[in-house]
Amino acid sequence: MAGKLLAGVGVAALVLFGASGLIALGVVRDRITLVAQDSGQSSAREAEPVQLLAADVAALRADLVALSEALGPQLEQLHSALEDSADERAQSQQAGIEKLAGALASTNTRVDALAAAIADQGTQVNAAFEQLRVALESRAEADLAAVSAPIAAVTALVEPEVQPQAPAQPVLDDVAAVEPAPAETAETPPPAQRKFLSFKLPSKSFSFSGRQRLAILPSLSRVGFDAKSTLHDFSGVTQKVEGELEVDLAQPTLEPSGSVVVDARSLDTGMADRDEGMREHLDVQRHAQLRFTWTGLRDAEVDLANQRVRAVAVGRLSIKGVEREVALPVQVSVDSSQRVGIEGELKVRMRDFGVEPPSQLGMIRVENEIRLWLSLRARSLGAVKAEASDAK
Amino acid sequence: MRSEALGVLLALSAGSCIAPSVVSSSGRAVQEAPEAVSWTPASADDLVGLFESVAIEGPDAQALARVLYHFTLDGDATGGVYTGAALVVGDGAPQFQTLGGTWRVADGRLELDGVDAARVLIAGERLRLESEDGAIVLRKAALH
Repeated sequence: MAGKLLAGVGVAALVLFGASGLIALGVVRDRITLVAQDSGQSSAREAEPVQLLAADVAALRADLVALSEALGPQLEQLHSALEDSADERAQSQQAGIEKLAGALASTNTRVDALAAAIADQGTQVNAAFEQLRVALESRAEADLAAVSAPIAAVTALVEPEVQPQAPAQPVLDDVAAVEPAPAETAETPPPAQRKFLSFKLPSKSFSFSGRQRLAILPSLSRVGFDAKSTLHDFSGVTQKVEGELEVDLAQPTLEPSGSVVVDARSLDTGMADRDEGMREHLDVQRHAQLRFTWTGLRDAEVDLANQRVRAVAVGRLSIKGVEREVALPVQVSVDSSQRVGIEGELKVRMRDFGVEPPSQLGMIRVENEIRLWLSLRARSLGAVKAEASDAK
Repeated sequence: MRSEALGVLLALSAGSCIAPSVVSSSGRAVQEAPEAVSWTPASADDLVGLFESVAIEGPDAQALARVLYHFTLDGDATGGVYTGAALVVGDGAPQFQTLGGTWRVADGRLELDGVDAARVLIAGERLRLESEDGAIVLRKAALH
């Protein structure tokens, strides 16, 4: 039994040993190099790698030559391209420099022209100031003359030898019309009370200069429009216009304000049917007023001597409840009754205000563009108090 | 619809017959000058009653907004007493000013309180008081 066991163990050990050897051989087989050296043939075998190396060098040289031949034209082309690019850049820079120089010269010319214009403007401003100074002096002299005459009259009245029998004075019922207290000193006589048909007039007469309130006089004002139609052209007019303006006519661009309100229901074209249609188009039931709200003035030309102004009034025009910014060229003048007249007109497109131009069966059509105009006269309500003006 | 189209056609055909009714730019302003009337010197009898202003002309006009006069004739037939009212503007808020006294018309001139005030003219129901400072045109008004 023991003998069989030992034999088995021995066989297994042999098998295990053999397997281990095979595994080890498999692992190291690729790493084993066997070199067999024969000392008698070694010199002949050493010449073979040199030849191979020489062949390789020769092949490499041939490749280099081929490469050089291939690259040569391209390098020349690249060189040429680089040179061209450099030339172009140089030319471009030269052109830019020349252009800059031209612009600089032009700028210099313009600066010179501007300087000349400024100098010219300065001369004109000086001339205008001189003109204004002369006008003011002239006006001051006129005012002085106007004041001197009443003073002379008062002086003559107080002379006992020339004083006629004093006429009965009208009985004045209102407190505001009480005679002013006499002056305490002879140097400052009271200004003569102006009267017209025995009514005492305000101490100050109308003045073109100074901020003042102007009330539109409906009885002397008209606002209207001119329209073109396929049938015939027509105007719509009303005198139902009111409003107040606040402005210094001598310096009208200084924060003018105010509004002009027109009763749209009262516009009259002279044909009842047309008026009815117009009122429907304007929807006067809901928008009974046309309104111009004055917000500014530009391009003003003031003629102090003749009390006239030409300018463009800027503001918001409201028609049928739609408001648009408009610029209304106006002319302002003062009439012989010291009332301020304002004339102006501008073209508007009805559709801009949501008003569809009237049309009858597409045959009788009113053009979309109409001309709005105003001819106002306003009365001065007096100067605006400084604090009231400042408060605005 | 047919009648409306016919109306339009008639209107179109008659279009050339309808004169344009465009207000010329020179005719936009309200003309103050009254219709051509021939003024004649007034007598005291012409002034009796209530008058209200319809136009005020002259440099002082801008200060007077409305003027009313009432003249009463007394026994001597050349004058009597009067009262007047005017809405005066220019020094702050508009103010009514009233006055009263005696009046007289002689040689076509009106004296108020013994002072020569104006030339007085009449045309129908209108009076024109005209002085070197301006003029007022008044129309006779009913005294209710």
